Amino acid sequence: MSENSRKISEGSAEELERLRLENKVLSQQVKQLVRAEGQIYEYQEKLDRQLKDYKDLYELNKKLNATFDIEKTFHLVVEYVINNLEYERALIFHRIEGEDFRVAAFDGYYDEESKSRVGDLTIKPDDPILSSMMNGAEYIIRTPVARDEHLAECGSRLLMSEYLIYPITVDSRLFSILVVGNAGDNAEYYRRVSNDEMALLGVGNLAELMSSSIENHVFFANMQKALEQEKLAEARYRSIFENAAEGIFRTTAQGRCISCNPAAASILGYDTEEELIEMVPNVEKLYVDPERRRDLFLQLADGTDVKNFEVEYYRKDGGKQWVMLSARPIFDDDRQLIYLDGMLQDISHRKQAEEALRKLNEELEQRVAERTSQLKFANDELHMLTQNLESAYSELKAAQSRVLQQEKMASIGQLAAGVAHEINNPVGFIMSNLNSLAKYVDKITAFLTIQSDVLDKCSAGGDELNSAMAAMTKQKKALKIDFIMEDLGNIVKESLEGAERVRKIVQDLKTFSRVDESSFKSADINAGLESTINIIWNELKYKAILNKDFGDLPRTVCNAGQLNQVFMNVLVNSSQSIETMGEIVVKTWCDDGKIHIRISDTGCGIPPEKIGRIFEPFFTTKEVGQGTGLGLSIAYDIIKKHGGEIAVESDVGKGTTFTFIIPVVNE
Amino acid sequence: MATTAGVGFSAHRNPAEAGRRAAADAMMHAGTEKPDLVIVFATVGYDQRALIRSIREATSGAPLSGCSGEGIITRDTVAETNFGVSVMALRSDELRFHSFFVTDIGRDISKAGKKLAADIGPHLAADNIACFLLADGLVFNFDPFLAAFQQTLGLERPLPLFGGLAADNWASKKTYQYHDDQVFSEGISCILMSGSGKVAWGVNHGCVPVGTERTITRCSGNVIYEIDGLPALEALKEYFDENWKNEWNKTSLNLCLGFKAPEQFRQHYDDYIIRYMMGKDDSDGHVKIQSEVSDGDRLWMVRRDKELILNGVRKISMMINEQMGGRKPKFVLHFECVGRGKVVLREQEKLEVIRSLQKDVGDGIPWMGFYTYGEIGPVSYCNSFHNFTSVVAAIY
Repeated sequence: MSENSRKISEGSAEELERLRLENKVLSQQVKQLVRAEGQIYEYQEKLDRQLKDYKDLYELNKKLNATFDIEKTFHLVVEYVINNLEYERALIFHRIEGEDFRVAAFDGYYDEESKSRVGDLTIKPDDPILSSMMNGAEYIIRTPVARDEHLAECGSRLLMSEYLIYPITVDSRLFSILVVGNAGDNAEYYRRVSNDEMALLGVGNLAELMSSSIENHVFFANMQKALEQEKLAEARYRSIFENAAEGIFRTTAQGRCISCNPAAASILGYDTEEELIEMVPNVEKLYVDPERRRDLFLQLADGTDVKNFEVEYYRKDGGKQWVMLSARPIFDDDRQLIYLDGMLQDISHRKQAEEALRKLNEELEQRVAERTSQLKFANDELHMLTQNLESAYSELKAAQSRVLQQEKMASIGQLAAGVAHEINNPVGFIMSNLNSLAKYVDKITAFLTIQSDVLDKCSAGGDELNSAMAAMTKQKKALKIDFIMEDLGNIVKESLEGAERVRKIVQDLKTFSRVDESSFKSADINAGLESTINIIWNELKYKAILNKDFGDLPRTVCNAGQLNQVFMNVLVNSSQSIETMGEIVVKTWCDDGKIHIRISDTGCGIPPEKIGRIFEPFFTTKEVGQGTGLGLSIAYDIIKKHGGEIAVESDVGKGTTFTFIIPVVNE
Repeated sequence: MATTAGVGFSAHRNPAEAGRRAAADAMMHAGTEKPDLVIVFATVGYDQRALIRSIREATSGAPLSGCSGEGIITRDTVAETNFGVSVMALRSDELRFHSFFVTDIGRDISKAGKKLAADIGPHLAADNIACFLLADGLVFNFDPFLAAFQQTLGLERPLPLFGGLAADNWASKKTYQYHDDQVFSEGISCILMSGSGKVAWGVNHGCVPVGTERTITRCSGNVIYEIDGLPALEALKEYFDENWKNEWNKTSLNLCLGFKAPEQFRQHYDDYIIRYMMGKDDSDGHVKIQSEVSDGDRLWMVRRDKELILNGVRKISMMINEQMGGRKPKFVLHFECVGRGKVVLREQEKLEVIRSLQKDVGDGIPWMGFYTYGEIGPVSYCNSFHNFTSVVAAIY
């Protein structure tokens, strides 16, 4: 190898080595470049995301600023959480003063069941989940790995497995609650809930924006409310000024009218307030008596308001007008009167009324005197009338008593007929027996005489005795002594039975009427019923089969005579209601301290239109002359007097049932 | 009538309401109440079944295909969010739509490819335009699927395949595919489009290689065990930041693998095909991609480049416009890699990229797409799988 070639070769080797080194350096640089590029792409993606977040937040801010509707704000926020922050679900709870937090907006719940469940969610102000926020916590977080049971329970209510809760405060008051999070099933495709600073930044920024936006809303709403109130107040006062019935005005101290309302103009006879202001350059001219104006100003000069100052003004047409003035002086800083604000009221009517009243008073006094005299006369007449009324009342009472007596007499008449019939029978056959007995006695006496002769001749014996004995035997046969001896016992027995029946009737009559007893006394209702039935048996027996179903009744303090009268009335009515042979059932029982007496019949019944009137006095369904119309009325009074009740059920054509319920009263 | 298409979008959080609104908007824009086909892209925050149920109700049970995405793209919205749904309603008397589905693709992707092709078979016709595949992005393996699918179809000229892999917003748990009333995972929802129409498309990524060439020294199927004799993760970790084990999704977005593109791709595509490392195993250090590799395959570390992304979408619109020759698309379906969204571009940049693409392809065209876990689009008439790529198919 020549020197030249060797040099070239050495040069090439050096060059190759240099190139190799250069390649190595370049290769390292490329590797670094590739790594750096990877990082750049990553930063770039993060930066893009942040930029997007801020841009989206800016857009949201613009939307929030464009609305002052709080509900729309909530909806914009949840929509932002879902579409821009890319959480799966968002909820906003809002609290109306004094109530629980309730769901005001939500998004990301798509099936009907979950919509319904979250829509009904509430959080009580004392819920533990809120306590940490009340104590200043910036947020509450539940990540997928969290183990806190309470947070898990809260998540199950929110239908989120991971979530962030941010308080939305306005003026340091918890106004709303923002909840964002994911359900879990598909969470990897949503923004995950994590403690990562960047992850928290997005929703934190949103919560702050929301707070500030709501604060603005509240401020704006308050301001708007205040403005509206101011407008309303102004309109109200303007309306009061324009429509007031009283005249309202302001004048200068010199007397120039600056403003007045239509009523002021009208009171003084002007068409408009402008006309009054124009035509009255100085209100001094209005005063009929200029002294009154001076009096007014003297009072105002003290700085006090003047009230109810009566003054007479000239009207536009020159007529006079009484007004009542109230005025308030307005001073400048130097205590100089500058304005006079006042109110005037038309009192011409009052003045006229006062005059009329005065005249009326005079007339009235005159009329009172006349009237007093008339009244005295009327009073005397009234006294007489009262006396007449008292007299009429006494007569009425007497008449009522007579009517009652009449009813009683009717009852007694009815009773007497039955009793007479009942007594007639036994008395009939007692009389007949007594006649027979009288004959028997004659015959027995005759026979005894014969027997006495025979006895006298017994000592003689012989034929005379035999003849006497034969004659006696003959007479015994002729006189039917054997029959008489046999019949005598029967007659006596029958008569005794008849007498007993009469005694019984008299006893029943006594029981029925209780004439010998005081009005209220312990009595046996069943016994009363029994005797009543016996008394009127003659009335009943041809009309009805009577079935008695008497239960055990305790004795009770009552007016037995009166109650028997009630039973008699009803039983007689029952029998009269039956045309041919029917049935009457009398049932008694005691239940719950009350005695029940039920009298049912199978009679003609009472029509529904009449049943309501049967206890009215003088109401009767019987033909004229058949009844007084007082029986049931009296019965009603008697039962009421006993503190009892009467019930009546009736079915036309089928029968009627009366039920009496009387409380048991112990002695 | 020809073809009418309308797109509706909703980000309402309530799945029933979101589905109803998006479907109603789509039908209103399409001017029909009885669409021939409804395509749905939605994100995974929703209860997927409730969402699809509401769309089916709103569209009177029109045939439905779709899948979950990391975000939604429409003419008015570019939304990488957990809650977004877009519906495209199509009605046409010049185009025919047949929808299919297969499940269990994780168990046997070749079988799935064969079954899908067998189902499509009876509908093969001279006027077939394209097939749109919406597959589970967590289990899909493109190469064995394509081999089985194309072999079963047995076509001389392959049916153009477009589509995207369903995503689940970095959860890496479950993606969803939709077919009529059904919502399922580990499957493919498929639409065969036929009739009087054409498809113009553009495919472009925005990645650039860094460092020197590497070699796969041990692999199996779509699993790379070793690179340059080192466990794959060991060979790559110098490029990762400290937290790479815990944030693999983000890490693998920043750095992905580039393989030399076949010669015929380079003119219409790029020098490299990009692969996202959808999975890793810390125990043996392997990484998993969504297509197959072989021992000895050369690879480069590649990273996304904003400038290239911006230039790439211009190329896409140029390619589409060139194919259409001045005609206007009836509608556009767009499959945008999740790695080209908010993880690399600022919100505003992302919007500008998409808006610029939409503007260049044509104003007022019904446009719907989603952010994917992988993209499918032909390059040089060869059906291909992509990562970190934008695939735009304009039907005209």
